[in-house]
Amino acid sequence: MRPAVRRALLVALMASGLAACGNGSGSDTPAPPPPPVVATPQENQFGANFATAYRAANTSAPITPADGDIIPLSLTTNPVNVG
Amino acid sequence: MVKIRTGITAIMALALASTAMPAFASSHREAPGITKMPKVDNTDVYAFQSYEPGRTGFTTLIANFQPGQNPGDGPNYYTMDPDALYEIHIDNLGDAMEHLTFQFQFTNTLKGDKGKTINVGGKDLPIALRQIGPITAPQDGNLGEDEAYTLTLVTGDRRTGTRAAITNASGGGTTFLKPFDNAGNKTIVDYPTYANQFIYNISIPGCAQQGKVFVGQRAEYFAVNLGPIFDLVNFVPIEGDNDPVYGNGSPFPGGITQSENNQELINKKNVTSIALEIPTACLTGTGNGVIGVWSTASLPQARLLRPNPTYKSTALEGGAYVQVSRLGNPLVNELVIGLPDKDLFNAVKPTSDGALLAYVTNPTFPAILDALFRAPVNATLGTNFATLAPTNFPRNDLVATFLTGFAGVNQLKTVTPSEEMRLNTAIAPTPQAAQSTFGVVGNDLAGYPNGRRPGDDTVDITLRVAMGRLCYPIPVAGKLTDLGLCKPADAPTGMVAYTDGAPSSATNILNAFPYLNPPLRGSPRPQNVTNNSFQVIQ
Repeated sequence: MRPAVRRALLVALMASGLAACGNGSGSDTPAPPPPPVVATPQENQFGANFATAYRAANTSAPITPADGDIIPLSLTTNPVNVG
Repeated sequence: MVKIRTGITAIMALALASTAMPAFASSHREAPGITKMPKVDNTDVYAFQSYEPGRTGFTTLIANFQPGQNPGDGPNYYTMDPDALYEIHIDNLGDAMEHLTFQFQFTNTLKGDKGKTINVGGKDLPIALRQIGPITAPQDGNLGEDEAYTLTLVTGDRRTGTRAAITNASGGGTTFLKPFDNAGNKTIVDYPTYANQFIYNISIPGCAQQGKVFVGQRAEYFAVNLGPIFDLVNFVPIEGDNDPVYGNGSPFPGGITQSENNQELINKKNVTSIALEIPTACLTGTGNGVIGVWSTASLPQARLLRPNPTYKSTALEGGAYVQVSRLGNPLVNELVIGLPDKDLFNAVKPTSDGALLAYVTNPTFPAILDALFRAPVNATLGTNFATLAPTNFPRNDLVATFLTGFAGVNQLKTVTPSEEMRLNTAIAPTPQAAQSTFGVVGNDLAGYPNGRRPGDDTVDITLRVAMGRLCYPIPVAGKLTDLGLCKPADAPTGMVAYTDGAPSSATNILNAFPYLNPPLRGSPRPQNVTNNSFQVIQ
């Protein structure tokens, strides 16, 4: 068999194989991959500005915290389980 | 019973070269994490039927904090942490849950937001000290800062239960004051009289009778020969003479003898006490009259330190409170819990103690003593002890001491293994002069481990119990009684008079609430007396 013919047959075989992996219609677009799971940083649970301060480089200047930077103090809740 | 009878001092010393020892103070700086937070470091808990004459039917609860206070530690001395939650918990059912919690929160306030000021060259400036003249009364004008606290009773879960303010029985106020520490007799001429003004009668929600509260500096009364113990037990820990209290009739040649020189804390250090006296009927609930007691301290979980701190706030804090210190029985977190788990022990509730059970059933401390002393004992005595430590595993005698209480003595209605100080409130208190410093094993059921009084020598009791004293009959109401927890054959040295040589006696402290002596003075030297005419000093 001539090389050009052989290549054509191989391409046809691969195409039919790929089609067999679909749902048979041959016209649907593949399902999109699931979005990557992004874990919420645990420091976010204490307030946005707490998290910012927590993530600051140890060489950076400290922030001056203001009321509201941390979730309110609570006598009645249990602590967050920090991993 | 096996007794060790001949001298081994020098040989024992040789045996101490290579074995590490755990910490050995009731709960003073006992875990790595808590050493970073001394203001919330819980050092001792006491729970006993009030033995002050005329106070039958009351239970005294004391939780001490802030270890190792030198009397002269000015100018700031030892205020409590206003960010913290200090709590004393009561389990009156036996499910290892708190059913009553006494919750303390502190505040410090500068008078006029400046404290004391003086005019210097036309400028009115705050002084660097807390006081500017003699102090005699609460909120004294010469004191620039007032330390106050609120007291809340929580019924049920300490966080989600029902909260109610405990109030001053005189006037109904909800704020109480804490005395200034004992700076010395130029600042406070008569410290006991000054401090007694801070003992408040309190009205407790749901309780027909009034109680009492006091928070303030006191003299340490935890008897312990700490330094030499840390130094690989650098003494022979067996009574060396016929001391009528600490001896057993067989003085051990070369053994340590009782001496005030062996004290690390008594007459040397102060501590801060939170003390309550509560009508017993208001503590026992629907249980069997036994209560489990422990204290804790907690801090806000989130903290941002301020780069521009003020007197009122050095950090922004929020979130829930995280427990960082816990104490029921003395020496448990010191001697029983392994180093990797000490801060975990501080952080959890008694309901979680089952996870640490192996530390009690298979304790390491007796094994360490065995490793330190068995070879020299055998070499000196010509004996062939296979071990000096008890061999009954699991150590049910220690489980009863620390985790369940003793049947018929101090077990709660439901028995849940958990680390609580268990007190049978139905056992009448022993008058001060008649108390045995050895508590239950000294024929005094009103003492440790049935609760704990300040005069109980818990170091020596724990030493002896750890080495198997309860495997032998103990005197109960004068009659030798076999507890059935283990046998004499399990404990070859169970009747040896183990001791650290640091004595204690109830007669050396007050016979009235808050029982612990007024604090040692900052000045003049010597500091190990107090500026008053009432305190008993050894």
